Order: sequence, then structure tokens, then C-alpha cells
Amino acid sequence: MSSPSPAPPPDPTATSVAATEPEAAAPAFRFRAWNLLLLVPLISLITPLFNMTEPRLAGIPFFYWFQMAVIPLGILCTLAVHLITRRADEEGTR
Amino acid sequence: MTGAQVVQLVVFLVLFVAVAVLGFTASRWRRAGDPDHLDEWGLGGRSFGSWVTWFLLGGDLYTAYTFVAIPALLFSSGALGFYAVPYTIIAFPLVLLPLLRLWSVSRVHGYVTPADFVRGRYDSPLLALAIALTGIVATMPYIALQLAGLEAVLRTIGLNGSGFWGHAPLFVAFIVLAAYTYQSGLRAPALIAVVKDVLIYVVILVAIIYLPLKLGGWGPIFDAGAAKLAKPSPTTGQPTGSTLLSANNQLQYATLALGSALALFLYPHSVTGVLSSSSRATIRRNMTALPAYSFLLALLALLGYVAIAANTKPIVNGSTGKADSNTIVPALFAGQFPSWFAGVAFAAIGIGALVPAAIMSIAAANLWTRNIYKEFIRRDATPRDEARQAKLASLVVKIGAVLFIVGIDPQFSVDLQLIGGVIVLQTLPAVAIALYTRWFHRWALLAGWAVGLIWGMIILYGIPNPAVAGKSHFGGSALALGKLSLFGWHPFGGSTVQIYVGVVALIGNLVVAAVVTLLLRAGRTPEGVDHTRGDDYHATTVPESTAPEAVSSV
Repeated sequence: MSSPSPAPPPDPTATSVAATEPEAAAPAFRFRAWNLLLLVPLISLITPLFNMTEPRLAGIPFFYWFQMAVIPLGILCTLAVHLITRRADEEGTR
Repeated sequence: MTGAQVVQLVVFLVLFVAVAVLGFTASRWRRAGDPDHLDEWGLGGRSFGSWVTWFLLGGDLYTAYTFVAIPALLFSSGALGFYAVPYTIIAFPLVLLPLLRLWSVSRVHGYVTPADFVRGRYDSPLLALAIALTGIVATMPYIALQLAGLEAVLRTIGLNGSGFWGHAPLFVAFIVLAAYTYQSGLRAPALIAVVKDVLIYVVILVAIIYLPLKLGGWGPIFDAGAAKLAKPSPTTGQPTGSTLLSANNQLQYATLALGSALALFLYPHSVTGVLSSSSRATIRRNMTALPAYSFLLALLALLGYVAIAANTKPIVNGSTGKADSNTIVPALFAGQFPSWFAGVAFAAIGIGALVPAAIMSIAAANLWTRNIYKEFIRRDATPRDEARQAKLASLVVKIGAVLFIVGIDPQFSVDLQLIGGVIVLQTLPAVAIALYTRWFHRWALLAGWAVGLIWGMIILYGIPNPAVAGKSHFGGSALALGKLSLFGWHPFGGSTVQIYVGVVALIGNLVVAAVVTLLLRAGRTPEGVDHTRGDDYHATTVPESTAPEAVSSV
């Protein structure tokens, strides 16, 4: 990155990071494969998958109950990411 | 006013007064710091734990308007209205990681608003001003819509006067709201949100179990909905909708859900809710648990079909003389429930309007104070001045929202909300993308923002609503791809497939921002100093050396 960035101000809590990361303008970004789980709920945007009436559930067309079923799926995926990455996050090691 | 309406009104008033008392006493609740500091008034001392944040964000994002308008949309157009469900399913997982970064960097630097972050990141008060103004302009009609939701309830109870004084009950409700927001700041809606949620949950659960039993089950309800929506509309001769999506509106459905999800946490009031939480763990837990409200929303949306099956008719608004489709859920409750329980339901919707209206006015006031007043009017403002200024601004914002409702047709406030969603989405590159990369040049972001706004407005202006006679502008947010024009070139000529305008404008915004970035960089235009650092975005605690006043020393 070509932006003119000054040296980070002295900060006792951040010396280790500053030493390994001289380009302070770029936020530390670490890719985690587990985070891809957060994209699973996007299935509810693919309308051809569920834009149909049958099979009904308790009289409710598939279009409606399918999307309602994605709600717990989304919660499970977010919960999984939360639990798996929680430890690293709260120790601030990312 | 009928006897049943008197009962409804009494129950409504009792709950409303109880909530107002709660709002006034909230200022004493868990108070730690100086009550006249903006962090205290405008962010509740940044101290809310998981439960309070859950209620606050729930009250903030699932508003009375949502509860009234989404079923009304299913009632009038069918499956398209169900977009609110995928919208709230995808929103929280998508924003989890960006919000954690925003929380950390805001905590380290003492940022109160998203525009504060933009200012620190890009060293540009001008870009921050653009973001702040966008936020304020997008929030005003949103507050007005909360009032529309509240008024729909009041008119159903029978307070359906005509002319200017027909709005009088709304004025009273709003003066009460303004007074306790002024007094207690963000603590008031946080506390009231708990009551609102309990009431809403009770009402929805009862409605969703009791009404289908009464009307013969979900099968007949959907059949009644399908039959009514298939009937040709008297104005266009086309069916008004369908319980499934058509070939033309599937893309609209997906892009509307996606665009709304991306816009959700760009609204200043959502950011206020996030920044008031006490830790990253609070945000993580909440993004996991908030979709539980989506269940509620899905069930509630289906009440639109229940209203069709129950043969409910919208109430004619005494001030405009037109049938107001937003009254469909209140009218359904009034027609199907015993009157005391209808009163509880109305109180739930009414209180559900007050919570977000309070948070939104606080968020808009924070933007005014931090990014306009302190930046351009009084640079030496102390935190105490900021708090005083924000309190006054919250009153101005609310008065403005009331004038919206009084001065214009409620239908027009829905249009404004539509515009608000499209324009707030244009802050995505400068706020959300900036959390990850500073690749875009600050002036390029400004250029992209301007193009996105103007283009979005031009497209919205050109969309007619054939179902409403004489409505040839701002008729909806669905653009037929065939009408998409790039300087006269129609890349999808003849196509009737529809897409959400906000997403189209955002793509234009990003393309312009990228091209201008390359040009500016080739010309070596100064990029300003980034006041944030990589590890700020992961901070779990605030280093002593960069405690809150960091932004003013910038």
C-alpha cells in the first residue's frame, strides 16, 4: 500500500504486533476457514431452490416453511463459529 | 368509539403509562459515570451486557413498523413481503465479523458514531460529514415510520380524528417519548425494550396458535390468500400478487433481502446499539441469538394471509380519507381477539414503536453532535457540551419526524423509507469495507458515494406504481432490468426481471470508487493519515494510553 503512514505511536500493549507489522495502515487480517460457515445461511437467497408449494408442512407451503427452517440452521452456523473462534478472540491473539 | 374500543384504550393507556414511568426512572439504572457525558447519555456508558444488548438490538431492529408493514405487504402483494425473513436470517452472520472490528476500533479510539470511525480512518472531516448526513437523512423517515405504526394502532382503537388535530394522540405519545429520552438517554429504550419484547412474544404466540385454530388451519388460510391475490386488480387488470414468487420478482426478492441485510448495520441506530455493548463476547452472543427474532417475524408476516382468511378490511385513515393498509394487523386483532387482549396487542405495537424511535433519535443526535457540531461549529466542545447538544438535537429530530407524519401522506413516508434504505447502503464502502482495507482513496469514496446516491435517486424517481392511479414516481424499489440505462445504453434491453435499486446503485458506487482510486493514486493525491492501527481492530481491552478522548486529539 502506498499510503504515507507514520510509525505507530509508542504503546506498551502493542510492541509485539508493531515489531512484526511495520505497515500499520493495514489491519491485521487472518483468514479462518471456520468463518466460511457464516455464508451457509445465504442459501435462503437462492429462490429457485424453494419457490414451490409442495410439499406442505401442516398446510404451510414449502416456500414458507423452508425459509423458516433455515433460521435454526443459521443460528447453528453462527453458534459454531462463535464457539470455535471464541477462545482465540477473547485472548486477543488474532 | 365502541365499548370494545374503550376497553382497548384503557389497557393500552395503562401499559403505556407504566412504560413511560420506566423510561423516566431508567436514568438511575446502573449509572456509573458522569450523567452529562455523551458516552453515558448516548451509549449508556458502553456498559450493556449480553441480555440488555439483546433486548436493545431486538427492539431497535425489529420495529413496530416491521410488525405492521411486513404483514401488510403479504396481505397486499403476497410472497414478496416474506423477503424480511431471509433478510434477517443472513444479516447477523454476515455482519458478525465486521461488527467485532468496528466495536474494537471504536473502543480504542472513543468513536461514538460510524462517521467518527471514517474520520479517523481516512483523516477526512468531509468524508465523515457525508457519512453523518447520509445517516441522519436516512434515519428521519425511519423515525417517521415508527410514528406511522403507532398511529395505525391509535386509529384502530378509534382515535381516528380528521385533519391536523386527528394527529393529537400521536403528539401526546411523542412528547412523553421525547421527555424521557431527553432525561435518560439510551438507558430508557434499553429498559423499555424488555417490556416490549415480552408483550410482543405473548401476542404473537397467542395470535399464531389461536387464529389458525379459529380459521380452520394453515391450509385454508394459504388457500384464501392465494385466491384473493390471484384476483385481478381493478386498476391494472393483473393479479395483485401470488403466494409464490414469479419469474420476474425472484431476483428482486434475493437482492432486496441482501441489500436490506447489508444496510441494516449501516444505519446509525444499529451502530449505537452495538457500540453500547460491553465486550466483543456480548456482540458474538447477540449475533448468534438475534435470529431467534426472525422466527417471530416469519410467524408475524403470515398474519397477512390470516387477515385475508379472516376477511379483515383496512381502516380508512381519518386524516387522508384513504384506506391505510398498515392498519391491517391492528384491525385483524381488533376483529378476532377479545377487546382486552387486543388492547395488550396494541400496546405491544405502540411500545414497539417508541423503543426504536428513541434509539434512532439518539443515534441521529450523536451524529449531529460529533460530526457536525464538534467538527464544524464548536471545535473546543467539552464532553458536557456534547451531551447537552445531543439532548437538544434528539428533540429536534423527533419534532422533524412528527412534522413528516403531519405534513405528508403516510404512503409517502413509506417511499421515504425506501429511499433511506437505498442511500444508507451507499455508505457501505466508506464504513464497512474500510474496516478491512484502506485500498479505496478517500476522495474516490466520496465520488462513489455521490454517484451511488444520485443514480439511486434517479432510478427510484423513474419507477411508477401502476396499482395507484397517478403515481408515476417513487412507486417502489424494484427496477425492471430492461429499464436499466447507462448513458442511454440498455444492457438488458426488454428484460422484465426485477432487481432491488439499492444493489444497482451500490455496484455503481463501487465501480466509480475503484476507478477514481486508481486515477488519484496515479496522480499521487495525498491519502491522509490513518489514525487506526491493525491491532486496534482486534482489541478486547482499551489500552490506557488511548482512552476515550483519542478522537479529539486527532
